[in-house]
Amino acid sequence: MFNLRQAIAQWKRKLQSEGRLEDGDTQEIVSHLEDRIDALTAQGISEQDAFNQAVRETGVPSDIGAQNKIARERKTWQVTRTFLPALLVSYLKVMVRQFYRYRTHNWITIGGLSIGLASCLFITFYTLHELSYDRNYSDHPIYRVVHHHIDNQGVEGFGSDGPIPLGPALKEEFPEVKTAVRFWRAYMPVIRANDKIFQENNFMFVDTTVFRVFDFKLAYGDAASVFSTKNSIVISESMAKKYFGNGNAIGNTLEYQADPGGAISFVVTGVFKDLPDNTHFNFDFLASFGALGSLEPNWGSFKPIWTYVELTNTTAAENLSRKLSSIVDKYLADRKYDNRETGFRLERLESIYLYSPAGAGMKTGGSVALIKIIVLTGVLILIMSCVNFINISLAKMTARLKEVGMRKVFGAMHRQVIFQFVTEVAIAFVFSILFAGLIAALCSPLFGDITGMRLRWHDILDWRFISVVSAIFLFVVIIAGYVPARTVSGFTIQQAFGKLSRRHDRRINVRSVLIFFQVTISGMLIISALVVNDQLKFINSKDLGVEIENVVAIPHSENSEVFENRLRAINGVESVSYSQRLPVNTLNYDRTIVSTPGVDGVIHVESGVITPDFLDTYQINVLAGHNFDNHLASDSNKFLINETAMRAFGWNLDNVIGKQLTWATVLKGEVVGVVQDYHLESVHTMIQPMVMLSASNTHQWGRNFISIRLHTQDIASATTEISKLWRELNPQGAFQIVFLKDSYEQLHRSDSIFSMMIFYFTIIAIFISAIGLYAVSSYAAEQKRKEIGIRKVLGSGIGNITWKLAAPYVVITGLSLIIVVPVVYYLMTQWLMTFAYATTIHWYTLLLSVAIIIALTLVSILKESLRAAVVNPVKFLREE
Amino acid sequence: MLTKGLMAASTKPLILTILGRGKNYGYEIIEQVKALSGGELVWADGMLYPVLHKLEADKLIASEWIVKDDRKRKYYKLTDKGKKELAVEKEAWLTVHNTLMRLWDLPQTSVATITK
Repeated sequence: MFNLRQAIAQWKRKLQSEGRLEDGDTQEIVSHLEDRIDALTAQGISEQDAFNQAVRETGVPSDIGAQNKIARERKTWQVTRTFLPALLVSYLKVMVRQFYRYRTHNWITIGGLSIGLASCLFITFYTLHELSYDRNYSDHPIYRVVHHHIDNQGVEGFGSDGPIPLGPALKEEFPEVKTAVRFWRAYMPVIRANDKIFQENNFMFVDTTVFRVFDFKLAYGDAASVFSTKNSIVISESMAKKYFGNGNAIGNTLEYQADPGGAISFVVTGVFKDLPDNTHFNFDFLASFGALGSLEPNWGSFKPIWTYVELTNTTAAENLSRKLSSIVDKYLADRKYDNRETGFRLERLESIYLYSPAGAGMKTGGSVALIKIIVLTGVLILIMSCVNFINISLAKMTARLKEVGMRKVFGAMHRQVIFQFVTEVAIAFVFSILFAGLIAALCSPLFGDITGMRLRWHDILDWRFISVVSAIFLFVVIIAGYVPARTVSGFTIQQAFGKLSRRHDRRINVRSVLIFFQVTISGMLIISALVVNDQLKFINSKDLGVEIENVVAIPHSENSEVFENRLRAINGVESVSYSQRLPVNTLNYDRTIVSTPGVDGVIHVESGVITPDFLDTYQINVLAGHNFDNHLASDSNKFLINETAMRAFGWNLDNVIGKQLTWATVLKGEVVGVVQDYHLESVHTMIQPMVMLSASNTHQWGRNFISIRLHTQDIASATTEISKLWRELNPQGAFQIVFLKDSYEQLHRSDSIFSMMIFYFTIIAIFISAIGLYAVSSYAAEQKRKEIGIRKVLGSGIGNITWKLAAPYVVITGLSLIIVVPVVYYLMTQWLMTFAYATTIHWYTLLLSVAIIIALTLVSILKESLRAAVVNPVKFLREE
Repeated sequence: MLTKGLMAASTKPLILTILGRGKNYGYEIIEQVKALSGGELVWADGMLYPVLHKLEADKLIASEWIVKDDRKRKYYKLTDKGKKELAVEKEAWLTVHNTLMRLWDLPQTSVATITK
């Protein structure tokens, strides 16, 4: 039997469920339906038919609902906006309370991110600085000419030095060359002006075209005319101040004494502004080449001369590169042999500092590999701190589902909830940026100590940096704010208040992935840092072949015999010797070629002149034959060679003695001894073949330096005595005493910068990862409070519970180690292969890293896990 | 038979006009429209209500619940704003009407005569 009342009630429910109409609207339509049924039954139609017809005419509930929603929403839309200013106070209040309630976590989030951002700030600054070298000349097509050769051992070599006539020859031979400029570094000249005498490092003879090609800024003088006379010199502002005090130094006289040139008197015709940091040029004096008089066009000898060319246009470079071999054919034919390559190459000016295989020349070059490692470290740190931020924000939002439920009950819309959460995250991020600025400001003196760079804010506020930070900001706010906020705000009220156990599990998994990621990154950094440290230690402890501890070097003295006798009498002086060059010191070099009968071709060698005591002073081992003999005049045509040279000629220790050599095509002689390899340059460079000649007794030539080995005690008093003696005998000279250990350290300064940076950044990475793990594990412990309480009531022990909480992290750490160790092993092996002398990765380094990573994980998570495990379960259980 | 677009467009003036004669409820409004149009204007009955709600939201009409003959009905009446809106609608529709009339050489209706 059809029951009209029941049918109507049923239809009403349908209207509510499918049409989602509110009660009033439902009632209105139901009464419409009843009116219609009344009218139809009045016409004599049966109740059932009347009902069916009325329902049909009224329409589909879901359509009515949809239309109604549009009508209603319009209304809401007009009254309510996404942002209600009236709610701002509530948002702020909730934010502050949340902040206070989870203050540890918030400090961790913001602190971690700030430290990450500050590190990136420093890394960016460092990298931008390194990349900014010599950019200011880049509108001219300027190139440096370097030489390249492959010796008969197949070893490739580059050099930025060159023969004297190279520059003018290039200009003459090739129309593409607009101007050629040579810089010839004088060897530690003594400069005197009135009563001031100093030994200088950065003195260059240059072609007069220098100011036409490079726009070094002049403080005084006219660039076009500074070199109009032969004896003109242009000096830097700081030198002008050093020698002549404040004011215009033009017109003053400087006395020069050194090789090349001997004694020359210069007149200052200009003062240039001190060179910026970010140029590979390094000089304080620019003297006219003309002052050297007419020079022999000797192609055979490569001097510390850097040759730069300005081309007519950039496209000419490729053309010219191809034609450069004709120079070799024409002037250096004796250097070119079968199967061996000798040639010149062009290097773009701005690429010299970082990329030149020949080295930067006037100062130590940078390293692209180091920049890459540092940038990678920075990126990893940044990712880690962002992961922390995201992780903690996710955890916080899931914990705030009840708040979302309440807001929805009070009529909050989807958009409003999203707005609230996204703003909270954005504000936290902005705080982090501000803190990062504060940290950077506080740490900038430390950064300055390590790198020697001054952090300048206007360099940092560069559009690239700002856009990167904005991109990170957007990314983090979307991932940590928008995405979870969308999910959370999408829950219905019932879901928000409900148990949500399924969703909960999913969240934990996302978090596990993020933790995995983080442990992996910090693992990579820790292992890399240890390997880098090993390598740097290896380099530093490498047998240099010379013993430089307690050795000092001073310039040659007048009246040398008297000087030497009195010097040897000074208490603490152990050994005295003379040499043309010093070990582990890049300033001076002398490269030449030697040939020997029976060996095809020539060999490029380092050469140096020493007295026999040199081997004693530096404790260099003689492996075969004997040292020079002071008393034998015949030693003037004897040679000592190093092991590398011996191998380069294809000899061995048994047959090397007595072999004939022709040195620099002019001096014929025999090999009397082989010494152990020792470093003339930094340990990054391979040891080159080397030939040593005996210094003649009478001439200063080859006796540039006096090296003195001192007793370990009395070093201070001995050096004072030495300087007093030297000054007494050289009243006109400039005294300088060099501790070989210091100059070695200076040569390896970039290594120590790198090592310090890696050290600090690894510490930061470890810190960030530790606080991240700490925060996440404590959240997890808090969420499992009830479970812990019940377990304790049922008799679980503290150890058991702690393990239960800690186990997932231990598993994650284990998994990440499985990936990290082989990957880093591979990458670091690649990196080590770029060194001339590399350590191997020891198993104990890897073991130590693994131990550190596991310890890090445990320390970070155990505290909170233990705390959760020892609390009285009543505390957790009475809550509900 | 009218197109959907014309139906939708005419709903508002029809409702406003009917309510202009006095307060009324949904079912009765539909019946009146049906009767006046000779059955030409037929809506899916339920669809009237969203329109009413929208007009109410726009404050052109106001509603109240009245119980009569044991049945609770929601009555709507024109607001002052609704009255003004009705005048505007009338003028608009007459403009369209007269334009067509002129084109078809049929007698036009003056706005003044209608509004009085």
